[in-house]
Amino acid sequence: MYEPVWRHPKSLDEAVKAIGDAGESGRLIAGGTDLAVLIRKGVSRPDVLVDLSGVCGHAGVTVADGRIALGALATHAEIGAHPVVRERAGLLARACSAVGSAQTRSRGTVGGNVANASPAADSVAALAALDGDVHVLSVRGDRVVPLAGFFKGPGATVLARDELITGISFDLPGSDARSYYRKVGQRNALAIAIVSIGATFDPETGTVRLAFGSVAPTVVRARAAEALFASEWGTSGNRPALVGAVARLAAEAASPIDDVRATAEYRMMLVETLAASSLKEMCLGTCA
Amino acid sequence: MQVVLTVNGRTRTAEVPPATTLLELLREHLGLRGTKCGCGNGECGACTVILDGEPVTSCIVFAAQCQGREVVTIEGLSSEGGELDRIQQAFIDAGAVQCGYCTPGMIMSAAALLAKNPHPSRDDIAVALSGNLCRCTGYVKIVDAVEAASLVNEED
Amino acid sequence: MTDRTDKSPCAPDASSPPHVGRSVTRVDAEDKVRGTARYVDDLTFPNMLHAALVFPGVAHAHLKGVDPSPALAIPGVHAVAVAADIPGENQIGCVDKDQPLMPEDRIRYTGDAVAVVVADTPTLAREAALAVRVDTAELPAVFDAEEAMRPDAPSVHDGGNTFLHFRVRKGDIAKGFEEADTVVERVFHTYHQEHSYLEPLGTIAVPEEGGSITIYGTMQCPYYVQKAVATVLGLPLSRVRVRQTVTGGGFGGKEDAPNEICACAALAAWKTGRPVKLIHTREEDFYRSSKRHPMSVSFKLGAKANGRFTAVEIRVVADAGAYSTLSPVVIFRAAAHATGPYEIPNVKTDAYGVYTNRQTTGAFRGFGQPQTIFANESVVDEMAERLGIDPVELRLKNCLAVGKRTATGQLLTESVGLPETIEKARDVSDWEKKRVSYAGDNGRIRRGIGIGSIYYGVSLGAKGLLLDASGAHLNVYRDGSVRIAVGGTEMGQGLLTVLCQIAADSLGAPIESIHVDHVDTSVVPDSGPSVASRTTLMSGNAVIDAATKLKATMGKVAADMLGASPDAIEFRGGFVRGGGGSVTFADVANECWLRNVNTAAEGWYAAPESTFDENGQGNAYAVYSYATHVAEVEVDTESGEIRLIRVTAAHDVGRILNPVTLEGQIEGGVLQCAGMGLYERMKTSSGDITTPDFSTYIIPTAMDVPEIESVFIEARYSKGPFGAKGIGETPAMPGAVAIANAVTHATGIRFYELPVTAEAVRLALSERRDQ
Repeated sequence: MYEPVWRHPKSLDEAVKAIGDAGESGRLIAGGTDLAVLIRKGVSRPDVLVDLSGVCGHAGVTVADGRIALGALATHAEIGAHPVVRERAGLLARACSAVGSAQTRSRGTVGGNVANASPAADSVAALAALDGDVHVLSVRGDRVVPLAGFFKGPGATVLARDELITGISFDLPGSDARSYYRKVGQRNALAIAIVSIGATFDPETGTVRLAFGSVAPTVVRARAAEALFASEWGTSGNRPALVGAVARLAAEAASPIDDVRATAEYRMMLVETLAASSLKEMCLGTCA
Repeated sequence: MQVVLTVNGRTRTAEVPPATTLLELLREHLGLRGTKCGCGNGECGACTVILDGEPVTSCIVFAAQCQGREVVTIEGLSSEGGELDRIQQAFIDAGAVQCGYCTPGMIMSAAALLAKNPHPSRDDIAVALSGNLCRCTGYVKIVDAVEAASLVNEED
Repeated sequence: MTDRTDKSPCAPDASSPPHVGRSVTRVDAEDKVRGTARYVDDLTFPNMLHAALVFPGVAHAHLKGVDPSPALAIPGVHAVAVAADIPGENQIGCVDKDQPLMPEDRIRYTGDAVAVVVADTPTLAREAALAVRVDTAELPAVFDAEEAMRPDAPSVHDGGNTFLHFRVRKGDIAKGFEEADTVVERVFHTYHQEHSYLEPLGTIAVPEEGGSITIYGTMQCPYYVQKAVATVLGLPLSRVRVRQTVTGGGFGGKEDAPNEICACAALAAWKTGRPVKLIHTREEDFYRSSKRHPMSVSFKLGAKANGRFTAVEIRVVADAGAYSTLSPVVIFRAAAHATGPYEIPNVKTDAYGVYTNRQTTGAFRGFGQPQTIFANESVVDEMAERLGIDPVELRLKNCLAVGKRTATGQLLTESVGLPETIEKARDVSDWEKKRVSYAGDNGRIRRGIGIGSIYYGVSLGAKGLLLDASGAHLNVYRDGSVRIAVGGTEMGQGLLTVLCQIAADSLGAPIESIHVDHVDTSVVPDSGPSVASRTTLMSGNAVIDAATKLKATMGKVAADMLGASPDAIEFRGGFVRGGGGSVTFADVANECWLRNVNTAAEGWYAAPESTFDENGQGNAYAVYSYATHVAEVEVDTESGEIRLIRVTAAHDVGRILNPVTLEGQIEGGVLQCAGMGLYERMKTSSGDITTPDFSTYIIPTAMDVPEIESVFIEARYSKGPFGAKGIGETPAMPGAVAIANAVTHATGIRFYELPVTAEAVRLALSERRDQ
């Protein structure tokens, strides 16, 4: 019989100590919307479960010093409803509102979504396009890892066994910044992404960021396409053509596979299509 | 492992194995069998209860994480044999019940919605119920029922 | 809310029955909204143990040994039952005797279980099941029906894999195709679909005194279960009592599969002498229950330039999976109806059932027809396009009507509302206008409107005659209250409520005084299965039969009380009237009791004779239900995503018994059509299911619902209860192809497999761009 030992830390200090003490077979659990399923299916059977739900000062959304900081325990529902997130980082609000169901959104946390490292994680495509930083803590101290360098593969991150995520932060986008999020799934709700895109456009600097979910082992940024955009946007005489070229180049960032949801071929098509749609909407102000 | 929590307004204490889910706690240990198990993976919503004001799929919430917290189940919406809650009554009146297996979870999702948003649009209702699968009704009469319930003055 | 009775073309008046035809509130709704309705997993018995099954998880193998000792060594494990423990016959086949409860020497699919572990808790039983050692040697397997038909394919059973062949031969197709000006020939594919009832399969087996056993469970066919358990335990039927519990959906999925789970629990209970509960997880349910048959359908249709169909040639290959279960009845139905609801003078249909090493396939709402409907209604649409005739007009030109003959040569003499369903669906959906305006869309979002029409032989027809009768037991107590037992099951469709209405009106008793029970096989004789839209018709007629007998005996007493002639007695609305006076129904019941007059009665109804000869000619079914759906979609030509925006569903139901429950059935069916048309495909790989849960097997949510307009047509059936015909299956049948036809209208691309996914649309659109 599976009989895990529970730890219920009340503070971050207690939490890092608990996960440090738990050793190899310890796992952190917050909302548990992923881990509880893996445990039930017998895929994961940690000996020690460190329950983060009672840790204080670890939730919520804070806006300060030109940054938005998401507590690791902030739920998708909370983030999706936050007025500043909705106004300035609409893509993140939309991504969080696209997670699973009302039940998952009220329970699942952004820290858990990041730590879980699914290439299909809805919030991560948005956070990647916001150039998010992951704040990490252990008994050895804290560190900040750019989201871009956080993931190693499906389910794998740079986190050490004894580290936990305390939050994710990113620069508060300017008031004239634009953003785009879209998920193509198999139905209109309760859907896992076939492809998702999170994108931002800063008209002041003439730069875009394009991030895709479910098209590679991790969420990916289309860096070459972003660079092409940055170098040409200001001077381009044919912006619709530039948008097309950037979208085509964006597709090169993708290395999708076939799975039960869709084929790699379809995913490749979607990457280019969604990139083009996002650029048209954000940069050209046209809804195709 | 001992769990102490508030269920439907009453403090309840149960001795459960450590991997027990909230759903198992409610059904097997507290005898509240109105909450149903449809999938065990948090994918169908039949086990939806309200935990500290939020709808959750109780099959993927561990009892150990509910220490000291407050749970409302379908049994908590109306007293045994007493007058029905307005959502329950609306489900009957609108013909929103067929096999009934999704019904308690559906009603709890609706209750969580109306507590936060007393006057939802039909789209709001569909979004709030989209984590509750129903294979019988096509959802039309369920959305009708929640809409009708939202129009019932709570003071009446 | 609209007044739902308005939808009845026959508005109620003083002569209308007081309850039939009205939206009487469901009798089981209050228990269900309170959470007090008792499904099988909500029941417990003293000393109850819990069981779990052992699945070797291989698709085709020799079973060399099962060693339960590691499981038995676990504290809290009470027993492990294996095939050798079966006291009776190791056989649970529904129609053919090809399915052991547990294989003894050969595993034929990944749903085969080889042992039942019994323990203190379900979790412990499941953990212990993993500890049972199973020794197997894998055999070559076959996972495709067309491949399985080849002579060199691995044999799933001894003998060839093609175990069913139904033929329909009418006229001369060579001549018919010669007369045709245009011929369309296409091949269509559909795949496994899972019923996805919300309540998983489950049962409790309780050993009783005197060497008998009671089975509680979620099921559609208690008499199948009774037979299976009696066979496995070697008991006479009289010692096996099956009580259906409140059932959380069926849709055909709880016809055959309960035999297996109930017999497993019964064996475990027999071995331990204690009540045993066995509830499947969702994943086990996916592996263990029968699916909709994957079919490939080759369809060739000929027509004159004026639109008259001249000939049709059809070949259907159905993947039956590892065991035949209900395939003989389901594939018969597919064969009989494969032409679609049209009068075609020359017909040749061949339908094959083929074993493979995949999940068993059986009944799923529509019963073998939705797959062939996809073929025939797609080809009719393509024919319309080729002939330059509107799809609605082409259907009206050829469709069945009174005086026409079906593919089996059956002359239709009454209750054919098909033309009206087509006309009403056309008018209510505003077809003619939208067909033109949608075609003008040229942006990213393109709209389309499509149609599908069907006919459905109600009940089991010529291949199910042995099962095609039904009983009812009516008991009137001295206070006038009435308790009714029937052999048909309530699974969510509203049977209990409709039977209350039928009983109230045929008995003249107040509806509040009537109570209908879930099935108990010890009360009502074998009434066959609750399938094929037969339950209201069969159980309803049985209730009317019993009520008629009761009124005869009670009427004599009433006549005496009223000083009237027995011929003049009328039972209506809770009163018994005659000779100018009236007494209450309860007064008469009490008077009967005082006079020692029996106020219980048995009712019985047997289906009219049906026939199907070796050439597939005959009166295959007593009566048919008809329906037409019109679907409207929006297609995003960039992503391929399809949004179903509106469905107009027109149904000929004979007679509306309860408008709200009827509308509920239709709306639910429309969404199942959306599932089949757009989302649902259970995928397998080497016999493993790769979509065994609700995050990978995609059924519609509340956000996938179109606007639904239900339209009722009442072409009365003289032998139906108050003129009603079956409605259970038809709402789930015409919609999927109507959606596919709408996507074709929107994109100009025709699709030959279901579901039509966003991916399929997008890939097809880019293929066309490349050309």
